[in-house]
Amino acid sequence: MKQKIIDFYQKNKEIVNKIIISFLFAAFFLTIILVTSKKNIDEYLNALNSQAVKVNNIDNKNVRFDKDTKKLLDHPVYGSVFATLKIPSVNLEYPIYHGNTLDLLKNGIGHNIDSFFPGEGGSVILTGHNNTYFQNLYNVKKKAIVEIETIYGKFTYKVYDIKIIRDNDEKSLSIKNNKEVLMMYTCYPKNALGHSSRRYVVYAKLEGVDYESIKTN
Amino acid sequence: MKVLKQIKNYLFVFFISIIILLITTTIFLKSTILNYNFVLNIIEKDNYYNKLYDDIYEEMLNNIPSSGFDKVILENLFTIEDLKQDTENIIIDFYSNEKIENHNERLKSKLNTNINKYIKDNKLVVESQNDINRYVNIMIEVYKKNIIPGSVIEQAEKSFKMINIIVTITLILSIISLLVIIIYKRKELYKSYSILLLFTSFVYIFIYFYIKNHVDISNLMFYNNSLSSIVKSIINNLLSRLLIITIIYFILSIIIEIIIKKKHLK
Repeated sequence: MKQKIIDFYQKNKEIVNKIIISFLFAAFFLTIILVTSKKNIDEYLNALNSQAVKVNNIDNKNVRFDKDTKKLLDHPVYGSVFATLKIPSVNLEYPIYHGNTLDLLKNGIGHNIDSFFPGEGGSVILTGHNNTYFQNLYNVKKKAIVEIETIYGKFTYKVYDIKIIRDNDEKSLSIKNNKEVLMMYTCYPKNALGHSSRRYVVYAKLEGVDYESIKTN
Repeated sequence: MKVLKQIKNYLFVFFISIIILLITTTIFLKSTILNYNFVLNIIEKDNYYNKLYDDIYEEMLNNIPSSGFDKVILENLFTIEDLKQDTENIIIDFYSNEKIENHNERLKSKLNTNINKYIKDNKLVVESQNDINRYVNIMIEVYKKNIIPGSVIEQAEKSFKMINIIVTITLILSIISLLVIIIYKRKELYKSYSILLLFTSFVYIFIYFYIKNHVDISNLMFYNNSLSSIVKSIINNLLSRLLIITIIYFILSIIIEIIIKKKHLK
């Protein structure tokens, strides 16, 4: 075998040498390019890679709630159903999706991804269309009970305020981290045509947590 | 002295190898991403317009529930042919800097007609014409941003002109340098033709695997499925062309070596 390689080399010495030389030239050239511009090249490639979407979890099996720190240890997958909203007084019971883009709102109620999850101690924001899943929101009265049954536990809220705001009123829907407030909103008025500039917001505060049904660590 | 001469000779070959690499790369760029026919061909092959139609229609459909209207207002709003024409106009406009009108105004007028008909047919009461105008503008924006997102055009336009100028100047200078060298140093180059081609071949194969290993091409997502599919097709097409050039240059250099060897034996 070794002799065969030597014979082959002797027979094709010139072309083999040229392949080696050109390989070394290329290696030298690429080394210079990488040493001088690797940072820029990596920046461009990272910018491209930042557009890559990877779906790591396809279910919410890993979602766990730590009742000591009041934090979710793994968040529900974007676009998945992680809870059910129930308002018994107006017969409202629909799934809550993590995310509130228009394609999710076609199927249920949306949870604002920048807001907190139920139980985490901050503002929880839910959105729905006024002619589908949140059409009964207008009928909700103060002191009404609102239940959110999540995959990690059950949370009960009581309505304490109802407001009609402008769609650019960020203050009325601002996210706070020191008090658990559930904010449910939809477009206003009910039969408005086009893109309504007003929102109907129902505020509820946390009343109770069913720890029995929470899967803790 | 002999060693010095040899080093000088190697440096000379190395220098010309870089010129060949530059000529190949600039021609490669000019015939691909700097040429709108290349982009239009990929779009045509990728069934882009049908996918784009579905993307736009679905996003418009998502805006229906909150509007108080029905999906009938989207009937005959735009066609695949309109999308094709608008996309081509935007791409040609981008490459040639000519301003070509697209179908936005026609779309707006058609949507207003459909909405007014829906309101009349269903005897609805308009509380705020302003809300309807805002809604129409949102729908037009859905159409516009999906064809070729404005931010993509803006970002690309800035660097495109500069890249085009640099590539053209590099190509001209490289060809002039190569011609001068061929005229004056043809004999010295004779035995190194294969090295010149093999060098480009090795550099390209490195770039091919570097990009393949460092960019998550299959998961790239730009704005919508149709645009993402085009970007992926363009990257994959460029990579396969790189690979083809690598193979052609490698085979060519071997053929050149065989010819030289045969001539030498004679």
